[in-house]
Amino acid sequence: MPRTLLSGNEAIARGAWEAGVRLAYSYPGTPATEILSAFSHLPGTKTHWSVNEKIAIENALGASLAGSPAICSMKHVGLNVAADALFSAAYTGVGAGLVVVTADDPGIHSSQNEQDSRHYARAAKIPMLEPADSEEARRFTRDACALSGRLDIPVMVRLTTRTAHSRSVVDEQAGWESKPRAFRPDPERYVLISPWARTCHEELESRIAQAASVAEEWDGNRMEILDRSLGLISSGMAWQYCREGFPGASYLKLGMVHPLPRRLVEKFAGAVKRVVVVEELDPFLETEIRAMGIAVEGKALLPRVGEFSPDIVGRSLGARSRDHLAHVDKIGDRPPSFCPGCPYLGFYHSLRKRGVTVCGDIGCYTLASQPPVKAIDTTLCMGAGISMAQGMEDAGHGPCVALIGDSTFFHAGMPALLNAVHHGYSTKVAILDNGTTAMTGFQPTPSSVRTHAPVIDMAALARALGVAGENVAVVGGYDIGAIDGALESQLSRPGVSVVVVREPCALIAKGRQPALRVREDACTACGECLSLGCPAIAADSRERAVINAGRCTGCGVCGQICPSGAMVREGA
Amino acid sequence: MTTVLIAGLGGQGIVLASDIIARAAMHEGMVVKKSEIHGMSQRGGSVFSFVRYDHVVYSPVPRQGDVDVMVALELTEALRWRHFLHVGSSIVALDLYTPSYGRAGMDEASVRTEMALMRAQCERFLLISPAALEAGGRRLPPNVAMLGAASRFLGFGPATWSAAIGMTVKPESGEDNMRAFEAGAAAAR
Repeated sequence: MPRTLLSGNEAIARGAWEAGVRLAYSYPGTPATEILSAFSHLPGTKTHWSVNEKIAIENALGASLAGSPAICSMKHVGLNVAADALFSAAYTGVGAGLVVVTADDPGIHSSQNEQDSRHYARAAKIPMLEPADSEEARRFTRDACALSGRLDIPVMVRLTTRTAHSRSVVDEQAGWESKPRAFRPDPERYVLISPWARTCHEELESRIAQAASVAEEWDGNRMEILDRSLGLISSGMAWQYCREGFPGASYLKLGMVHPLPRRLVEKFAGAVKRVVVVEELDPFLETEIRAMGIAVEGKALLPRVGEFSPDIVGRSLGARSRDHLAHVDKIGDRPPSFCPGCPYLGFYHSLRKRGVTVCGDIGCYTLASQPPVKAIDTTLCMGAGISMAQGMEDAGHGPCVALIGDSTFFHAGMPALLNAVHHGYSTKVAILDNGTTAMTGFQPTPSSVRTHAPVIDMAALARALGVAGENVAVVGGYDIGAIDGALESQLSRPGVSVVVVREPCALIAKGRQPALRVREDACTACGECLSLGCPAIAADSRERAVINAGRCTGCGVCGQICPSGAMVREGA
Repeated sequence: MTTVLIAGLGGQGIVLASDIIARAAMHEGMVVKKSEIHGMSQRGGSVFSFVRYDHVVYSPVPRQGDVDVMVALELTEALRWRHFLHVGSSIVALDLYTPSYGRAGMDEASVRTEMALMRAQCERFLLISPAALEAGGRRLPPNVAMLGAASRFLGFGPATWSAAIGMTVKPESGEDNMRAFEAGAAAAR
């Protein structure tokens, strides 16, 4: 069978496909996004980007109960959104098979937090597998699909950014076709109402106990006794760091982090003199192993915060680091920037000038928190800006504007806007509608223009959610006068107001215009254009603006806000 | 175990270059693991990829001092990983400085001073001028050109390189990429 170099994400898709899964659902979120895209390129599959992760897991469960096994994938904070359904799916059982893939982000490479999603497996009482490289990602996902159908329980597969994005050799195997099953009506299991739900709980306890027996025999959990003075218990990428740094130490590699193979753990602990659990983030394994009565070290030696590296694991366990050149201390960051010609730079600029509190949200616009733009005050989680602005209003604070993109608005903002209308708030909302999910790679949203789906008009939607007709304004991104006019008009109105800023993303819009140029004699070095945050504009040694013609898209926003009229088009 | 680091900026084709090295190593029968973080590349951030190959590879992430060959497409990015190099490392860097967004990074003079320190410590140090990577006035793909420049330190045969590049780049740009590779190799002699 072919050996290929696959990322963990691609290998997950492959493993599910080999197990006969043909349906997958997800919502975009780094580092999990590529799982669905990879799966969509495999033969015979049907996939879509659900409007949010709760819907994705519910789509998947419906399919599974009706006889087609399914997979759903999301980043860790997306699992929070799906959690309501996850806990209940453990009670109902799944039918054909349901695998839930979650990707954690230790080190917070691109997320709001570094929560440890292993706790969900314990809380929801479902098995969770954790691969340590791409070949295991393939194999464990195959095993997860089979286990889910066999035990009638959702099974989770957990990655981290490092395992999701690293590439390693995978032995692709032939798959099998899933035998079609009919939906078996069973309201006493599928309708969670007392007293039926209590019986479901009892049955869940026995299913998770069965999973614990499977854990004892499954080859994804394995140990090797080498030097008995040190025994390392680990899983995932942390195990790779252990093997790299301590090749002589005995190890217990856990492929199933819940439920634990208790007899295997006891056998390992009995065979070595010292047991150290090497795990990123929380002492999840350590706590459970200590509760078994085994003397174990872990977070007394290793950090709880941040991602591990081979050096961190080595240092924590007393190994010497190797000789290396000196670190460059003042190297500074290369922070992520907006794109040249981004249609929202002018809007952030106009908004910041108004001196309001801005409750932001998740998307490219989260970058508006950074210098030089510095236009947002909060970002909590999907859709939170609109609801937080309401709470601030109740506490007597204002004026506030909630800022949100179209994908995020569809995901979680709609109920929040409805809440504002229903409870009579004066919430001011700006919806940045570029018709795509830009930050994660341009996945479609309901306002994307596509040939086979109805395009949802954001302004009509706002009115349908109860916002008064004259309180909805639509402007483009590149006319600063119109933007200022819309903000002036809408921010002063009573009741809920929505300004829709509709403009395609600069990275996918067609047609550049001639670049702009700064007339040196006219520039007063006031810095106003630099505050836009456009990466095509920089300052020279005298703080005067210089435009990089190669990067400039000719959008003209800088020219509109320049107080000295110093910008001209090239060739003019 | 060989550890290669490729570093640069979003949009320079760093990940593609690292795919070529990985395929070259697989072509010669080795086990390969590579580590990179996606997500911020189009936002102009730092992009890097470690490629490690041997008969057995555990961690795709190396320790400080483990890097045998560094290919850097920008000077600040070359410096960012200095502590992953040791005195025996081979360094091939493109002589290009790009300031950070919002001026968060090091200025050019300081970057060049620190690079000079690196050159003083490492015998195998090549600085490639961007002009050397042009052919007949056309700019060739600098990522593949820099692989050509680094090829003398990497030890893969010409057939391996050709196969790896062919498997990775779009078929219509195969010729351009091979020309880029040759230009880089010539610039390194």
